[in-house]
Amino acid sequence: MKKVFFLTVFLCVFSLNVDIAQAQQVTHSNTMDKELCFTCHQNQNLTVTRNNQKISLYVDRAQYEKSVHGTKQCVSCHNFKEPYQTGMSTDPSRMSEQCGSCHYQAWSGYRDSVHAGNNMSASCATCHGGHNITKVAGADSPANKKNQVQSCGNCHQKVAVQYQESFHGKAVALGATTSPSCTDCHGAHKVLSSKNPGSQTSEEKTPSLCSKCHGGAVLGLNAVEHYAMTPQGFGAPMYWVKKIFMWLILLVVGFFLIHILLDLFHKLRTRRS
Amino acid sequence: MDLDSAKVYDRWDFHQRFQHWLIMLSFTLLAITGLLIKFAFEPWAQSLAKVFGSFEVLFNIHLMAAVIMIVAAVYHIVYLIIKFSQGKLRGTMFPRFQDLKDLYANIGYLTGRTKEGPRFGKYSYKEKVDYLAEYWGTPVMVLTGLILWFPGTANTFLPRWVIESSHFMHQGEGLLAILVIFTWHLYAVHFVPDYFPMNRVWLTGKVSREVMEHEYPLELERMEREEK
Repeated sequence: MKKVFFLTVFLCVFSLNVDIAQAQQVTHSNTMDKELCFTCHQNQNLTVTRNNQKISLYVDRAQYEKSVHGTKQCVSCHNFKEPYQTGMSTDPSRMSEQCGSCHYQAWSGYRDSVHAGNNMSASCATCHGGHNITKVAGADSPANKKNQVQSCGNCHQKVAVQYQESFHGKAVALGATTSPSCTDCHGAHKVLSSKNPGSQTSEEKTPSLCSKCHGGAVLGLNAVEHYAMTPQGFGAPMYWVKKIFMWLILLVVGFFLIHILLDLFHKLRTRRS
Repeated sequence: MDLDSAKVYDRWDFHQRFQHWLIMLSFTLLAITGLLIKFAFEPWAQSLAKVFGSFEVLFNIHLMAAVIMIVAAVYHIVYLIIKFSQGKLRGTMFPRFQDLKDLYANIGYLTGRTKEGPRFGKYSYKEKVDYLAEYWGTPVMVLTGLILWFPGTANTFLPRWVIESSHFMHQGEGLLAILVIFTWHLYAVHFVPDYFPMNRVWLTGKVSREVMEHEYPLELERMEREEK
């Protein structure tokens, strides 16, 4: 153990660009203390080359210690099954199981979601972050009400833009707590496709979903929350209304400004003479 | 002559000034809160919105100001009906073909094509435009605003696209009104060299003989005819 420790310290201190290939002697184990991990992993130049790609193995210690898991041991998430291989890395399937060992409910919901079903297209860290995880309610969390639009929008770009045109989107951007954001309608962990009859956003269930805030069920009967502002299709009337008002504003205000300038120049001219 | 030049003329009665107060107050509140919501993704809007404490406070101010504006509009209609029943409604604010001719003549005057400008009555086309903007804008804003305030009720008799379009009508008409007030209206009553820093008629309801001669000569003639 001591030998390993000194070797790691030696490597961290004396080489500026530490590639893990040089440090393969370091045996990771599930009994390692956080302090020992950080002797190497707080080096910003610590990298590993995998498939000809340099991957950083640096962990921002200050940020990690501020996170909700800051007092936990590294090995409580990074479960070493074999030497040199981390338990989680970026493998989503192992990540969700690993998180699920504590966050069981979130994981069991996630297990049934489209995100899990769709080849784990989004896993825990995609929405919550990695070493920097903070409480969801916190201002910095990528999963909080306001920031989740950005987080979900990383993949669901079109829908996020359409949502931001809506009143719900604008209210949330200004910090509203009573206006819905992505997870309020779609769910957080158990996100289901709207084609799935069990989904909150399925055609059958939208009336009761909308009525949570809007009373009566009428609004949900023909709910169209996300639509494209295009000259054809559902968004067409909105597209043209927006266009017409843009031109109306340009023409009216343009005429008024010209009139004001004519008046002003005339007054200044006649005043001088 | 001295007495004459010091003479002031009634222009607006108390009710008219009070309506202006209500509209001014509600319009300002609606414009500020409305612009913040419209430009919710701009950093300046997000930091300004924090002044209100929370979005819910900001939005409730918007709704309360809307109620004040509706009250002012109803007040005005009642005022017009009473004036009409008393036979005192002269319809001086009503747009006429003469206004178009005045506009043409005035542009000729302002560009230096003619030496003499048009002579206006109680309200020139410049003021009629303000009034028209207000009473075209208010119904549009109130109607679309109510649809958005009570979407569930509106949806019982309106198709979805009308409700969705109301968002963009409300934003478009709101922006138009704000830009008109902040260019046309504020120029005409504050920044125009004749009145700078301010035309005080909205406070006193009275105008001087000098202003009457200069701005509303036809109205002055009418008043003097009536006095005789």
